[in-house]
Amino acid sequence: MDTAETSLVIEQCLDGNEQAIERFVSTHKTDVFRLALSIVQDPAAANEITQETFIAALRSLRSYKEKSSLKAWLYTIALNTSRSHLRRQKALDKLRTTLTSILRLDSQRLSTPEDAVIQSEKEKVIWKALNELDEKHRTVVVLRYFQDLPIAEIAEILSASEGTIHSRLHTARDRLRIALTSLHGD
Amino acid sequence: MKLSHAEAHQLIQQSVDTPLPQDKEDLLDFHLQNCPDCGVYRNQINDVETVLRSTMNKHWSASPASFDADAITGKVKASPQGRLGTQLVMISLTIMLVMFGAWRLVNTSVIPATIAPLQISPIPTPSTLHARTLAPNCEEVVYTVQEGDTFAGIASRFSATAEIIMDWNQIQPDALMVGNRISIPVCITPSATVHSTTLTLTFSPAPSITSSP
Repeated sequence: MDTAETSLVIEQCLDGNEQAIERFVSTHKTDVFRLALSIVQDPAAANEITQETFIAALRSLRSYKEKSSLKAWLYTIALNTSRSHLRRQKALDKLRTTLTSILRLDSQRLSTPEDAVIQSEKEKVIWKALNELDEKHRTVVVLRYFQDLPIAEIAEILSASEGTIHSRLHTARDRLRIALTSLHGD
Repeated sequence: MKLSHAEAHQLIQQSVDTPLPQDKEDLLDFHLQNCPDCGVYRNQINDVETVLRSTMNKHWSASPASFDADAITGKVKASPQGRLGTQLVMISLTIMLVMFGAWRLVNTSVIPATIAPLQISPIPTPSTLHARTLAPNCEEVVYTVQEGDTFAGIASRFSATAEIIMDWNQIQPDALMVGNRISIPVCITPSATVHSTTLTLTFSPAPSITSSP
């Protein structure tokens, strides 16, 4: 979407044009949902986060500065909403752990059981290693390889420099590489 | 210029995200031609990227549940921003009420509208006295009131009466104040025999007082 198109969409949404809002939501909802899913690992929660993201975005559309791309701006809201959800979820999980028997948190993080997704051995190893990355490295990997975003946009979404994004990707790839090489016994 | 293995790894990682400048690319290519280990490293990084993309797509390629854009629009309209107009009206009313209350407070005063002017009685001096006519045998003595003086006491000293002093000076009975300068009309009645050269001064009240404004 070029700048002129973006401005038009924003203007129409601000005017309360329901068709424009519907178009805006339809255009971006899958990407937002998948980003949320990659963070929270739960489709139901990802759906909720997607709705919350669009509500928050439409409410604060006036504050959107056209310096960044609309997608990047939307992704920033989605990321923040997902992180808030994760924080709430962590608090709930802690409570569950205290009240009931101890549940393994790492298995809870995967919404779909491993056997429901057919994966090669390499994919299993990379998936496990990916989930073991800390949040800041995992997020850059998701934005780069799942959302296919350029470095500049990732830097904008995460409010970091491009150098920092390069560095985090470098570190994440090295860790995943080590996990893969251990599979082969290299 | 030769690259170290660490530098080569660095350039390999860089090239994955953004194209390298030509000179760096040439250096890397030359290094990789002569370093099998760094070649393996590059292949492993490429492998990571491929597997990463495929596994993420398998896990996260689900589509969102269909939700009504109308539901989103409805929630946006019901948001605080949607009620902004009402909030602004309430805030404006509150400010107006506060300002009205402050205005009322300023304009409602417990101090009476008029204050009775402070009456200060001038200290009588001879110049403020009414013009009086003294008899030829009388003269005006100016006396400064001392502490403890009374009209009666002063009058007795000058063979006058308190009433004459009060009247002559136009002073109220309770207005005698220390430091006041009052005039006392004193009249001399000589009493002498042929053989006596003693002049006896007898102070007596002035025989007549006529006043003119």
